[in-house]
Amino acid sequence: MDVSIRGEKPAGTVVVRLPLFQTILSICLLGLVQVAPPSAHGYTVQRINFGANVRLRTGDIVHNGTALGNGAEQVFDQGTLNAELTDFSEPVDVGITAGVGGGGMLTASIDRTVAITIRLSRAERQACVGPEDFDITLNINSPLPGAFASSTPGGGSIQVTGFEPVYRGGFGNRCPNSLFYGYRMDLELEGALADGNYQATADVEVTFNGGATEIIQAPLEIQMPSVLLLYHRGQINVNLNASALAGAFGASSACGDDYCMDLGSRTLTLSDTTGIVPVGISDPGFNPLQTINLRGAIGARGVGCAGGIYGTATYEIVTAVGGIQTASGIISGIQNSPCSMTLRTGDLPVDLDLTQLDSATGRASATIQITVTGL
Amino acid sequence: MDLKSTFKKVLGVGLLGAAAITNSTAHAAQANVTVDVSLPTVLVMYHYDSITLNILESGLAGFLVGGTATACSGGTDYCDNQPTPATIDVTAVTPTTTVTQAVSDPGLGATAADFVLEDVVGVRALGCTSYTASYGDGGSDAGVTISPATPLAGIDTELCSFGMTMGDLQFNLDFNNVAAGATTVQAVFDVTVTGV
Repeated sequence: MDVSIRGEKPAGTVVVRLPLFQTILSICLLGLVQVAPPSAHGYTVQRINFGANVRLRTGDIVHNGTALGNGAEQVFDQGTLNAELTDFSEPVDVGITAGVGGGGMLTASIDRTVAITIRLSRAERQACVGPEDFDITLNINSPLPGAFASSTPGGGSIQVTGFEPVYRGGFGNRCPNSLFYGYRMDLELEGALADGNYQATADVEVTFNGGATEIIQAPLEIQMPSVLLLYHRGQINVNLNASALAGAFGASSACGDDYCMDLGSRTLTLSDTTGIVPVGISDPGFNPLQTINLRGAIGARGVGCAGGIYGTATYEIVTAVGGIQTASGIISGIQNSPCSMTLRTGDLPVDLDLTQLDSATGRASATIQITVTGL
Repeated sequence: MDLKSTFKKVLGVGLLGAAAITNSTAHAAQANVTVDVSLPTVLVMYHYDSITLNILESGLAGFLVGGTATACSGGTDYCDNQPTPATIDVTAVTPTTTVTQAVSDPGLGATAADFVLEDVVGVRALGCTSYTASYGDGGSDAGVTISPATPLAGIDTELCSFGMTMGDLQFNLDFNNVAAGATTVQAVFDVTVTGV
């Protein structure tokens, strides 16, 4: 992913051989550059907008290889789950994870077209020094090793997983008098909590032909967008096993192809000669309202939630057929819980009235609407 | 009338309205989850593991005498007072005189009896129209007869439902065939209920 900074061309498109462009750029550089003290070798390292505020948009964030859309709220349908329910007392494990359906790691990359300029001395130009003579290393060492820190207290951090200089070209005719470098920075956003600015200081280490290393520090700043990610299954098919229903009826064991409930022993007395013994088996009854608990059915991740927590997380069963009861409620694992890029999951309860089951159609169904707020 | 002031108020109201509309839809992630539950066919039979049926002496004694047995005076068993016998003439008296008068056996009302265990099996089901229910002998003791494939009255041919449907079991006990000295006799039922 390329993050194009306003006013810059995309990476890899800089061509700086035209004399007119040389002149214009030279004039611009005079106004913008921060110049390091001259080195013993004669060259100078100049920083051009190295520490500019890089504004990430949600579309710049990559979700396990796929860029997010541009909206602050993103919804990920993780497809269909087919599950067996063998016992109402056991949940159906939906197992929403951030790694399914395009989820997983949240990353971003920054490609700066021109960040460092090495201006060569006359002697170096005459010696036709080139990029092969320089070894440039980029590191982040503060305020955290290899990470940006939020300017908001407690706002988390952004890990730098890759930070490499990219040589863009030289400026000059036969031999260059300036060498231009950009950089590519790979970021892992899992530790980000707050939106807004994240800051770090980059160490630019320049070594010329194996000589002494010159270290220049440059501030960097990334502006993190607020984003709320909602994960769900679009379709959950629950195969209600006969054992689950039999269990709800009190059946304690399988007998033959079906189920039995052993009511234990009983002692009766026959005192007359009729031979009629009124046993009168007692109906143990059953709870007609059983709950199918869809555990971990909803997942959420967020950055920049108000107060650092999710707002409301609710479900509403908007259509219900064949014994499923309409209902609404909160998703307790998410509502008012800490908001971060760490996936939080919540359960969905679906109440089923057994007395309303329709054996003719053989199915019950519901549409559950999920709403999560936070930004 | 201050036209300028009026315009400001109208504009202010308009902006507030626009803000309210925007806020009502902002910052909420929404999704729909469709849940389909496929239902099984299931049948649950409720039964007792064992039933101990104590036949009281009075009932059995009555059965033996073919009527109502009378408790013997001072005892715990039963007596059947026979009619007063005819006068017996003793024509010869010896040191050991035998007087012969056989008690007349009133006979048994029947040698066997049917026992019906009413509402002893229950069933409820989903996914069927009606029940076929029957029972047979599952290894009863001598003297007990359970007819094979006997329809289970009360359940057989009844409609399937979540409400419990109850049925009866019946066995025949022939006292003539009960093992000598036996104090218990076991009837074992094999019950089969099918939803169709």
